[in-house]
Amino acid sequence: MAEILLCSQPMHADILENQCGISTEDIFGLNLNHTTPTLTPFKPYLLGQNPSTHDQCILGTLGSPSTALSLIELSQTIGADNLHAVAEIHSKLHEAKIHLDPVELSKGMVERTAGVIERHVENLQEAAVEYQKRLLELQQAKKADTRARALARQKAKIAFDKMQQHFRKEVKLVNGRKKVTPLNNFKRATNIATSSRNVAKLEVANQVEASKLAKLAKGAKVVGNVITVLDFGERVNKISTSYKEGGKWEREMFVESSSFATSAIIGEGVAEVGLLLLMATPVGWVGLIVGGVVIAGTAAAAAYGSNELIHENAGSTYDEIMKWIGG
Amino acid sequence: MTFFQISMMAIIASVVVVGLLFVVFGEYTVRRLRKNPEVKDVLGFEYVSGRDIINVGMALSLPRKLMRKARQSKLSFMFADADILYQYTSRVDRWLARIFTYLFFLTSFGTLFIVILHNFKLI
Repeated sequence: MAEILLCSQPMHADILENQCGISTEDIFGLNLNHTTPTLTPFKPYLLGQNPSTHDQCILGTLGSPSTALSLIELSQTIGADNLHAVAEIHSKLHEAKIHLDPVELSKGMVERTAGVIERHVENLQEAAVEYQKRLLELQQAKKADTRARALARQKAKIAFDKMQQHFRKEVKLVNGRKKVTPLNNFKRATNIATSSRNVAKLEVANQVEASKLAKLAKGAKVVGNVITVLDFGERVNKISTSYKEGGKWEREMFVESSSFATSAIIGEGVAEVGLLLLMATPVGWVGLIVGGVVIAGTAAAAAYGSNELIHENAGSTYDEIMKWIGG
Repeated sequence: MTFFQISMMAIIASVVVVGLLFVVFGEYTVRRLRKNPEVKDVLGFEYVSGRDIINVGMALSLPRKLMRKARQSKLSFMFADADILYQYTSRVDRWLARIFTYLFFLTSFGTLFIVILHNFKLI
């Protein structure tokens, strides 16, 4: 168990000692040395008496300033304890290739038939799809009279609440499964919680958790109370990881950018043709919603399929082109 | 090189070309239309940013009869209004729109075709 301390402002160790009761002796930097009197913002520090190399590993995973910035924002918005749960859900949804993004969530349609998703995640997803539908209805109702508009707004609100409920349930479930006492030093934790909004403390049990957190921090952006997860960010991340590891980053960039562009073009193309077909059929409201979901699902399936294809084969195509250029 | 390798190269090449055309058409034609108060409200619902570029492309390149029908349907808010757009675009704009839109759909469905063939182990 490693306790990580993050701050968003330069902070003098004395202030920390006075306000939170953390002595300077207990704060360690990245190389397990004692820190300078002032803590640098957006840099993770380790708390404790005798940190192990294992703790150092965890610290390293969360080391980049952008990760730290994002983690501070996230932990202030949703609370440090919930952060783990959200990271867990994010990684689970990510494994099932679903992103917490309303547009992307319709992809869940495709995955569900494959039966790869656990039941409760499925509920969350269904709720999100429902919310999305209501929003579309609301968009339509803009042209209608005030009563219809109010009704649509009400429905969207209900769907939103339901989605939130499922999300909260999911968070609770993940939190409950962990046998981690949320705060193993009660006094210190309450001090941190009450004294400052510039300091965040995280407890990380192992390397797996740390990498999940780092992944969430890279993909998530805090917008008010909403988290948006960007698929594109992760692709860029892959390229830069390859670059840092001295791999063939140009090759990686070729693979990622071509598969991203292709799947975007395919998905959009299928969606447009679907819309044209849908508009040509005389259906009522229910038909439109069902049709819309089918289009979104088909488009997502097409985009998903092409992403797989290009992702798997773009690398060898790149090699082929390079061979060709090289003679 | 096998047929599959050639088609992979063709897909990636056409994706690059479509991407370039998307930017060129968006900057040259659609950006001007977005600023024009007469047309900026008839560019169609933009559920992902940049979709208005595709809407305008479709309105200027698909048969006008079809686009008129689209504007009369329940989903009219999704499509751009071709009749108004024709008044505010030049011949160059329309040809750019046609090249872009047809290449866009060709790439999209061509790749889909390859994906299907590949998934059924035909190539």
